[in-house]
Amino acid sequence: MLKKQMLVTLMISALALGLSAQEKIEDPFEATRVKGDQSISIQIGGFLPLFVIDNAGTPISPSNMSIGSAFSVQYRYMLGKNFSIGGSGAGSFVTTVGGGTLFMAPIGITGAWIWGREPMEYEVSAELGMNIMRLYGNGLISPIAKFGGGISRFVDSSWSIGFKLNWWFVPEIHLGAFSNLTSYANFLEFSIGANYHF
Amino acid sequence: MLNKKRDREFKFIIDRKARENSRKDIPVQSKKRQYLLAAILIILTLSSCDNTFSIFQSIGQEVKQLGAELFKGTTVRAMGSDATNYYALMSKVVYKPKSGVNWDVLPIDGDTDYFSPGLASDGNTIYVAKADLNANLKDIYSSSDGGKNWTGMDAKSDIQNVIGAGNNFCVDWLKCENNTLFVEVHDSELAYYLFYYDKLSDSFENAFTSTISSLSEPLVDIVWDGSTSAPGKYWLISSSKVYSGVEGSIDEDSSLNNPALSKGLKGIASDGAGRILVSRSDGKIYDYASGNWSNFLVKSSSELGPLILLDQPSTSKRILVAMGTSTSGYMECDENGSIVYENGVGFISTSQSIYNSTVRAKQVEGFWQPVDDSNTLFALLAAGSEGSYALYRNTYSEGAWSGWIAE
Repeated sequence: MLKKQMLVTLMISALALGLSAQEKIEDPFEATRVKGDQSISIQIGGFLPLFVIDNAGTPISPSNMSIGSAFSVQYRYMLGKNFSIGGSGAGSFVTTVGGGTLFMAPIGITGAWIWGREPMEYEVSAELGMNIMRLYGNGLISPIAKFGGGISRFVDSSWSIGFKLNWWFVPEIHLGAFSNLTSYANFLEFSIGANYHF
Repeated sequence: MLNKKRDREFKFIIDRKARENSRKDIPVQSKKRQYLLAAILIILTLSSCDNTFSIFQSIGQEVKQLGAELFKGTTVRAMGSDATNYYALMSKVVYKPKSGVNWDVLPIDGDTDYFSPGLASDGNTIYVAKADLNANLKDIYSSSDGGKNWTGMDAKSDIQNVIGAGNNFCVDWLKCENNTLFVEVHDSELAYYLFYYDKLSDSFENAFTSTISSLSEPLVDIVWDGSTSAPGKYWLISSSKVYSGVEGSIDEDSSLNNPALSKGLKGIASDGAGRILVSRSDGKIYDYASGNWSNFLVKSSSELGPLILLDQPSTSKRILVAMGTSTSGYMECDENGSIVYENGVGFISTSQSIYNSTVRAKQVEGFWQPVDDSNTLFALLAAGSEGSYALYRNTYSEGAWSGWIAE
């Protein structure tokens, strides 16, 4: 648990350092993009199970999941100089204490607020979608919400590379007589990636 | 970079026109097909969902399994016990004191570098077959003091007296039932023989009636019915037929509606009180009681495997029956077969979460209980991967089974 907290603290610190390094920017909201700009990004990184709470709001402890990996592909379309919408598909794996592997594959629509000054660009984003989960041959589809932020740096006119943090909120909804099986899982995705702008 | 941005805008306009044109070209028929395909995909995905299975709560209930390294990525084929130890057969015999923790290789007559094709016990004496590198029997050894001292039983010469002097043969399995040791062997011509150890004459004798010297198909297992209402007898299955009788006169069972099925018999179990259960490759279990065979379908078109009648808790007995190699794991059904439980849901033997992380997806070689302890159950598995275990124990206490715990 302590290791997880340290890892989260380190990541948030790194994000904050990156942001504070841009204090000299005169107009941080100066657009580096225009309406109609598009981008595709590919991210890969780690996936940290944070906590799970049950139907009554009680933490399921321990979560019995180990750190895993995640990857995602995202498309964005700029609606204005700062706001974009898009879609994403992702996959993640975590192993369980009993030797199983939980696979999650969310797809969703995203909205992001993007600002910065070249060569740096910052974003905060939210995503809503559906999540296909698989464990020991049992499948479930749940809703999913992601919230996060990231930093990227242009390396040429078309490419930028960066770092992202995403909080995954995964409500596992069960209906009817099995509603007591409902639970809510929380994960942190930390990833590096490349963005192609066109 | 800003200059480059103008290029991007220009390219975007060109691309947008191209996209709009191509959209206009998509025929309505094609769009309908796309919607239909999407609908089918959604239905297929939703149909694979199980509302009764909680992924995160199941993970939260998982138990870290810390078994012996000896049982990782291997197959446990038989078990036995005596007053002091448990024994398990892989390519060698390993043992663990009942009150101990660690498993270790059991020396047989001072030898730890051996290959064993068979292990059996009657609760007091253990029997171990030793073979050479070609799996030909050297001898069967017995020990009645926890493996400290061993006695060679001169099995090889006794058996060669029947199958022909000088003929090498392989042991397929050993089994003790009703305090009698049985040995199945096959020769190089794939003729299968069953012998029993006659304590009075101190020799191995043909277990079949005199008209059957050998079979052309392997034998699966033998059990003692423990009947008290009629003279007790042994029940034996080959891969296709059922046999019954006492030592030296076991004969093919010719009773009406018996479970004979060409290459279709998979497991046999006894309740120790006259009832016999036989599992088949067509998903049926045959049930013999009071002189009659009946049957029930566990799962259609599903190959079954070894089975056991679990008599704890006594108010809710269950049949545990292994599933065939294509799916593996096991199912539970009530003792009349009217309700079948799958995938750990509603199991009495373990929780769904523990089942998923221990036995599911592994081939069940058999279930085993010590003759004097119906509160202990072992699952003998073929562990498919290096990281998983092949032997799990389950303990009945205070009205419930503990669930599978790696040995």
